[in-house]
Amino acid sequence: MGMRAFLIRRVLLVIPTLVGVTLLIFAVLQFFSPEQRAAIFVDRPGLSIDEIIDVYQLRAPVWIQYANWMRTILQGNLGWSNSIGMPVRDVLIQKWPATAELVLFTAPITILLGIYLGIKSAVHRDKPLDHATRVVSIVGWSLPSFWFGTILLAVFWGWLHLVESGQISGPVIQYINSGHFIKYTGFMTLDGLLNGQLWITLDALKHLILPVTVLVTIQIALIVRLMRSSMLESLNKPYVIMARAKGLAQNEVISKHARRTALIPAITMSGLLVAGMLNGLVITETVFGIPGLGNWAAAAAIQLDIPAVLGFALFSGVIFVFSNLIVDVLYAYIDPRIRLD
Amino acid sequence: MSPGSRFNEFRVRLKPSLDEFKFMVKRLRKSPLSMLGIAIIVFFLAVAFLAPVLAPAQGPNPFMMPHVNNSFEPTPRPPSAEAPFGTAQYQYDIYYGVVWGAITAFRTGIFVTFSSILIGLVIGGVSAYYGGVVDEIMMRFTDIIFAFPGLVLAMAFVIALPQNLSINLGLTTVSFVLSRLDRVLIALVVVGWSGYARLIRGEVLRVKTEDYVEAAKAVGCSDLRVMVRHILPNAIYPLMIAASLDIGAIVLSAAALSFLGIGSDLGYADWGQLIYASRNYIYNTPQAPLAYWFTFAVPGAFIFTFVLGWNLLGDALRDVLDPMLRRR
Repeated sequence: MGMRAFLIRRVLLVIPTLVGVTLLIFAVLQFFSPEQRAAIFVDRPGLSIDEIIDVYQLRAPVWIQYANWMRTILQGNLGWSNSIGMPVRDVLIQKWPATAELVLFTAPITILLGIYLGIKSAVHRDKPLDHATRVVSIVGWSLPSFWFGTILLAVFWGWLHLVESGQISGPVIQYINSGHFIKYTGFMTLDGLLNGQLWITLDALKHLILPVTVLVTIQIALIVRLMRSSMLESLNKPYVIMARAKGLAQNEVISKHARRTALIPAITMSGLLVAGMLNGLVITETVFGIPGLGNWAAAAAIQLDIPAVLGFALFSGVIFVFSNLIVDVLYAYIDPRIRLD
Repeated sequence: MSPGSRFNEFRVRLKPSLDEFKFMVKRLRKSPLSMLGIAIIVFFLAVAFLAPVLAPAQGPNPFMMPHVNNSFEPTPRPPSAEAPFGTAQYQYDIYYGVVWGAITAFRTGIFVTFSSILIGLVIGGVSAYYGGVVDEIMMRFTDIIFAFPGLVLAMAFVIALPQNLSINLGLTTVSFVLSRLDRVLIALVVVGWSGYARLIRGEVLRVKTEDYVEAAKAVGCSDLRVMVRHILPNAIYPLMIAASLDIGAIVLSAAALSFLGIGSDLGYADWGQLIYASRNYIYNTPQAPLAYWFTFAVPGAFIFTFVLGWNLLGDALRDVLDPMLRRR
């Protein structure tokens, strides 16, 4: 099977997985009474609850309800978020840049630093550096993100007055609302540059330091541990021993022989990293008051805003399906055994 | 046959497992981090068992935190003689909350882990045993739940579960009244079983083709006996490692749900809830910015240490039990 056949098969597999995700969310939806469920079917106020139940057949057998629900989703209607007073689809469009910006800063740092520390740990196995990395990653793995974030906020905001919570500071908000600022992408760091206002970019970056620190700290252990064990395995492979035996320098052995194969398991785990990231975002955005998707979903959960929570869950599900697709394609590209299997 | 010889026979049969166990304990004792983990867990076990002594109950339900001086004042108070760790919002005694919260933490971790393992055993076992289409469908669904962001799904389940859950069993209907903590526990089980199902399926598939299982089948052992006597003991160690690492993660998730305000009832002795109550008091005034540090520092330190203990133990177990890593 060539790369093309693998790609086609893998892309087609997305469809049943997406159906599975919608079935899962639909199963959660079935716990609610028809009256509570009604808000997920319409995205503008107007119809009364009884009319919605009537139109969307919310008392009919489940498969009819599922078909109706799928139809509304495919039309781009995800329901009405009562806690914020907007259609769920519009909230997703409005709020995703703040969340994506956080991810775009966190993911590369976590992955690169994690791989680096994992390799260092394996190469210097049972040396002080290995022990230190191990302790730091277990501690990070055990830290409650909400507590760690709260402490950082208390120290750097409450005590040292270096940053404050939120995505941007007060003067920036005023400037943005003054009308001179055009939101090109919604990413504050990028929009500041595009508007020629470097101070806005710097302000946004300053606000990102603490949340990114929290997310990296709690995520990195996964990659470090995985990279360490796969590197240890790789260092014991015959071709690595052979490379050492013929007198190659340590650097060459590691970067040209051992590291390449050791990276493969780390890539397969990045899918799990995405899931962990989405979990972490809910907490981190809430702690730091960043107006992103996680913050919205958390606030909505308290107010029993069902379309918001399920809309966010559906969004997370779609994200994870596609990130797994990317991971698998990357995996096949790097490791020919997978696509030729 | 004399009783002595039967005992000897028993000893001979058990010797390999006993040696394995001794080897494990020896390795664990050589690792300072694992000993620290065990010490932490023992400390929390002691706190949980001694809770009625350390913090005598003051009402009919010991899990409801008392209000210090029967005051309902919203502003927290710093540590004092009556409340050694200070009071949280509405004058809940933080000391009382963290002591009884230890029981809540163990209950959460152990209940969710064991229920998840049971479901995982059934789903993973059935999947591996029957194979084919059943396996394919069940594992695809398991994969979806496994990869789905757990906290997001748990959030949805917590708000979806009703207060009165009725299950129709055909002949009778069983009804439960679910407290808010119960709903958190159920949601975490619903999210948590998938990892075990995958693990158990993999282990069963690995062990199924081993010679000793074939041999057991050949001498006429029943499927159940093969499963319980031959497959399970050889699949148990990976399960132990996963469970130990999982208890910490579960307590963290439960605390996170509490922090988001969808955890246990208001006033329930739960570490996450104490942090939820402190959210409005992170920053006080410019004159005394950190006046309420104790409201989040103390309960958070308990959560962190508890989780750290389990993770240290799980990490050490993985090194000790993983045949690929040890004996080198």
